[in-house]
Order: sequence, then structure tokens, then C-alpha cells
Amino acid sequence: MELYLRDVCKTYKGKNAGHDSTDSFSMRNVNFDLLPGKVTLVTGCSGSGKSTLLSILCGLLRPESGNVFYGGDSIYDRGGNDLALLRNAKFGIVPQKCLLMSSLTVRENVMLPALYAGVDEKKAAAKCEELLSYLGICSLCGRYPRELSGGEMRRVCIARAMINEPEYIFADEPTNDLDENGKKRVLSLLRESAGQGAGVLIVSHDSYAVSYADIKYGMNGGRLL
Amino acid sequence: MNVKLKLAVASLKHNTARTFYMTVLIAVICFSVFSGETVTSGLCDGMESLKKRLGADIVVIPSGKSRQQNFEEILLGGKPGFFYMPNSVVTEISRLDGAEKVTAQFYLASLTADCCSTELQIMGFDPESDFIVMPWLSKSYAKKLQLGEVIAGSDVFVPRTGIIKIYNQDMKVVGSMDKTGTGLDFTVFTNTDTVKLMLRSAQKLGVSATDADPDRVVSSVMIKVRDGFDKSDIVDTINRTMAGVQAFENRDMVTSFTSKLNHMTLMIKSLVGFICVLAMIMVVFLFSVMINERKNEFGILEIMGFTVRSLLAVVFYELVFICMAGSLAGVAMAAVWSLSFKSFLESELGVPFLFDCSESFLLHACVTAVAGTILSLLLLLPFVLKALRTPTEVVMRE
Ligand SMILES: Nc1ncnc2c1ncn2[C@@H]1O[C@H](COP(=O)(O)OP(=O)(O)OP(=O)(O)O)[C@@H](O)[C@H]1O
Ligand SMILES: [Mg+2]
Repeated sequence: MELYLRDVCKTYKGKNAGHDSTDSFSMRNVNFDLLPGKVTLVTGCSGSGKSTLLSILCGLLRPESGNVFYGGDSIYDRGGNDLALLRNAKFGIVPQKCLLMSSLTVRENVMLPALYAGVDEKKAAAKCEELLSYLGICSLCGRYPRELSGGEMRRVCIARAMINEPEYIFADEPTNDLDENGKKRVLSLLRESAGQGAGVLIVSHDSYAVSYADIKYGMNGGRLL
Repeated sequence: MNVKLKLAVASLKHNTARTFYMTVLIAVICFSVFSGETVTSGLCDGMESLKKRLGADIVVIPSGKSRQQNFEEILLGGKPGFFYMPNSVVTEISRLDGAEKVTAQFYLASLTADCCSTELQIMGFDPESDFIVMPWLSKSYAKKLQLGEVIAGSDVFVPRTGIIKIYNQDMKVVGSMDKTGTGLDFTVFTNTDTVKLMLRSAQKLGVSATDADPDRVVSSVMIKVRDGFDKSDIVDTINRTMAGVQAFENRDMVTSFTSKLNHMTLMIKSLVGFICVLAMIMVVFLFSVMINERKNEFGILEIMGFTVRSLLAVVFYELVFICMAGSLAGVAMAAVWSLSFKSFLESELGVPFLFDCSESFLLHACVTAVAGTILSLLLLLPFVLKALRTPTEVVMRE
């Protein structure tokens, strides 16, 4: 099902706002389609609103006006529970900041969204194994997050986002903290998912991602170019 | 296992120190509430049972400043004593209009000397007119007491022979009483004739503190007031018209102890309250710090698509565990504590104290544990709700 946003506006006011002409960041009437089966790349300098766009699109940040449509229906008009369950079942999100549950091991962290969705434990474990080995961190699966390096954590987050074979993947700076080899693996994994029909959004200022993208956008001061 | 439950358990295990401190604090609250509760209710029960056992509306004893205190010490403190007044008082009182039942009692104290087994209070009642002692004595011994037969209070030491010696008279112990937590536990009960026998024997031995003729004196007179008559009027009448005696209502009889009891209850309650408030402040503080740290975790779970309801469930499971473990531990420790310190409380507080590991005590313990769990949950849940209102997107970026 298609996912797009229409006429979205979002403003942050206050002292710590963006480097726009005024002292506040604003996003005006943005329209954007995330196409299934394609890798869409959004690049732009720091503070241009990439993460904001991603958050709005995946249902984590309600815009002031405009809406995000999934399958023709506005996702923010759903109830909170409904939206959460949609996110669990259909969306895979890699946050810009690596966030893992400190009380769970790597394997448990990756499997969590699947178990929450009610997937059989064995099946989830197999999928987890597959993803972790693809990303080259299979040997870390019994470790706790505090025992991981930045790049390892990043890859765990990516595996977690993909455990439910989501329809849409939102990756905020997925290649941060990674070496060349790691970047290659992550991006080809995302590329592969798109090949299987997923809509992939990569937000990055890493030029390395460009060669993996089907569609490219630039972003500046809250405007898509 | 349910994913939410699993998460809750993982989090409890992972944060051992946090789990431990919270549990201990809740245990402290429950411990102080429950042990305070047991002590105060033990005191009140002791008082109640005493009042019930006294059964009379009005008590008349010889006049004299320390007599009333004497009397209270016999009943409550287990300190043997005696006093006498002419038995003509009994007839005089029987003539009063409002007196439905009137009976005399005869007190005697034994000595720690060769002639006696041990120092004891002896309370003699008149089987013909008694309405105070016999109703509850009949539970221990249904037959009529014969001359030389006694019933022992629960704490009176009775040798295996079943005979205790009082002023060289062998007394046969035919029954013993339930515990009351009062001086009555150190008392032997018998009929007036037997007490007079003892007193005469004591006088013959030359160890008696009184030379009163046993047949002409009584120690106290108990009155049950007829319906429709005012107790205080009768008390007034007696105090005004009869010389050498003083009358008072049952309710005033244990005044000194009641005030002591109220004082103590208040002290215990304020101590419990103080500890509780302190512990609660600490729990709340600890919890709000901890929940703040956990906003991050909530954000992660929300990103994965956990509903707010599920997040609540996770925290709720954790809290239920902590609150339940804390309450149970606190109540259990309080129970053990009060049971093992029971005798200490009885002897040190020096007031009637009634407390047993009975069904109602256990029920009370369960109720306290459940109430502790629920109340601590109610105390902490608002903080959870507040933390859940933090927008996820903020967590994601910071
Ligand atoms: N909660 C907020 N309150 C105020 N301003 C905010 C808030 N969130 C973001 N901003 C501002 O909005 C602008 C866009 O932020 P956003 O995170 O989308 O940038 P970005 O393009 O992802 O940057 P980067 O490449 O550094 O991650 C920034 O200038 C930021 O300061
Ligand atoms: Mg960003």
C-alpha cells in the first residue's frame, strides 16, 4: 500500500531552533511519496529537517497541518493504539540515535518487535540469526548493549527494524559509525529489501549511500528539493 | 511467556539495585503499618476483654486514696493486693432501688514464703450471687467449685501434682483459664469460703497483714444496674450516703490505664505515620528518578510499535512485583516480629495486651499485604502516566 504525505507543515519555535533566516525551523507544505520497491534517499545539511520529515512519515511526530496517508487513509486520524500496531506490523524504523533496551541481549532486542507482533519464537529467532549474520554481528547475539561499539549498536538497530519484514523501512543515518565494509552490508541489505518490494527511505548526509538509491531528494531549511 | 511480562522481568533483573531498594522501602512501610497495627489492636483487645470480664456497671471498694490504683493493679498489672471493708455494705447496697444484681468479692494475696507456693492474687467470689466471674469461668470448669478447689489463670505455675499451697492449705487446681493479657492471668479463682479458709490460716500462722474477721469483711462489691436507672445517680448516692467506701463506674475504673493506653497508641501511630511518610517520600523520589531514566526505554518500545497500553502493562507488572514482594516481606517480618516480641511487649508495656497468631491475625496480615500492594501502586502509577506522555520523537533525537 502506498505511503505519502501531503501539504505537511511543521514549525519549531524557541531559542534552540534551526539555522533558518528566522530563529525558528519550519517545514511548509511538503509533499512526498515513499514508493514501494524503491530506495529513496534524502540528503541535506545538518538541521535541514531530514529527521523531522522521517518522524512525521513514520507516525511518530504529528504535523501541524497536512497529513500522512497509508493505503489512502490518514495515519494520524487513527487511534494511538492503531497507529502503534501499524508501526509494529508494517514499519521498520532505524532512529538516528541508537536506542536499545539495556536490559535485553542483542538477540532479545532484535526479536522484540516480532514477539510483540505475535510471531512464533522459533521463526523470529531464525530471522534474527539471518539478519545478524548478514550484518556480521552474529557472534554478539548474547551480549548486552553496554558491551557493544557504536557501529555494532547501529547494526543491531537495523536488524531490529527489519525483523518483521516491514512494508516500509525508515533509516535515519543508517551508515553512521560504520566502516566501509559495514556501510556496504547495511546498504545492500536495504537495497535487497527494496528488491523484495519494501519502500525504503534513507536519510543521510553520507555520499556513500547515493549509489544505492533509486530516487534522490535534497533538503534545505525544511524544503524538499 | 508474555512479551510484556518477559520485559518486566528482564528489567527487574537487570536493575537489581533499583528493584531491591524499592522493595525494601515498600517493605519498611508495610512493616511499620502492620506491626503498629498489631500492637495497638493488641492493646485495645486486651482492654476490651478486661472490660467484658469485669461485667459490672458499678464497683464499690473501701475508700482511700490508693485503693482504686490498688484495684486496677490487681486486675491489670498482676500485682497481688487486698483491702477489706465491712460486709454490711453488701446488704446496704442490695437495698438500693436501682441495683439489679449485687455480689461481693474477696481478695487475698499469697506470699513468697515457705507457707505458699508462690506470690499470687486470689480472687474469691460468692457462688450464690456471682454474675461476674462464673460466666467466663464456666468455660474452664463447668462443675461447682468445692472447698479447697481453685481455677488458675493462664500464667499461674501449676506443679504436676495439680496442688498449690497457699498459707499451708493445699489447693487443688481443677481448671485453668484462657489468656487475657491482664493481671487476671496471674490470679487464682475460688469461692469465698475457700478464701476465708486461707485468710484464717494466714492469721493463725501470724503472716497476715490484717486481723479482720474473715466472716465480717468483703473486698469489693459489684453492681449490675437495673434498666432505666442512671448509673451515675447510683454512684452518687453510694458515695454520699455510705461511709468508708467509694463507688465508681466500670467505665472510669480503668482510667489510668485507658489514658496510658491512649497515650501509647497515639505515640505508636505517630511513629508509624512518620516512618511511612518518610519512606513514601523516598519511594516516590526514587521512582520518579527511575521513571525519568526510563523515558528512553518507553521511546524505544514505541518506535517498535508498542501501544501505550502495552507500555503501561510492562511497568505495571514490574510495579506489581515490587509492591507485592515489598508488602509481603514487610507484613511477614512484622508478623514474626510481633509474635517473637509478644512477651516483651506484655511485660515491658505493663498494660493488658492480647494478641495471638489466630485466623483473624493472619487474615489481617493478608489484607494489609494486599492493601499495601494496591496503595503503593496507586502512589506510583501517576508518575508512570506522566512519563508516558513524553513524545517519542524527542527521545529518538536527543
Ligand atoms: N523538539 C524540537 N524543538 C525545537 N527545535 C527542534 C526540535 N526538533 C528539531 N528541532 C530543530 O529543527 C531543525 C530540524 O531538525 P532535524 O532533526 O530534522 O534535522 P536533521 O536534518 O535531521 O539534522 P541532522 O542531519 O543533524 O540529523 C533543527 O534545526 C532542530 O534544531
Ligand atoms: Mg537527523
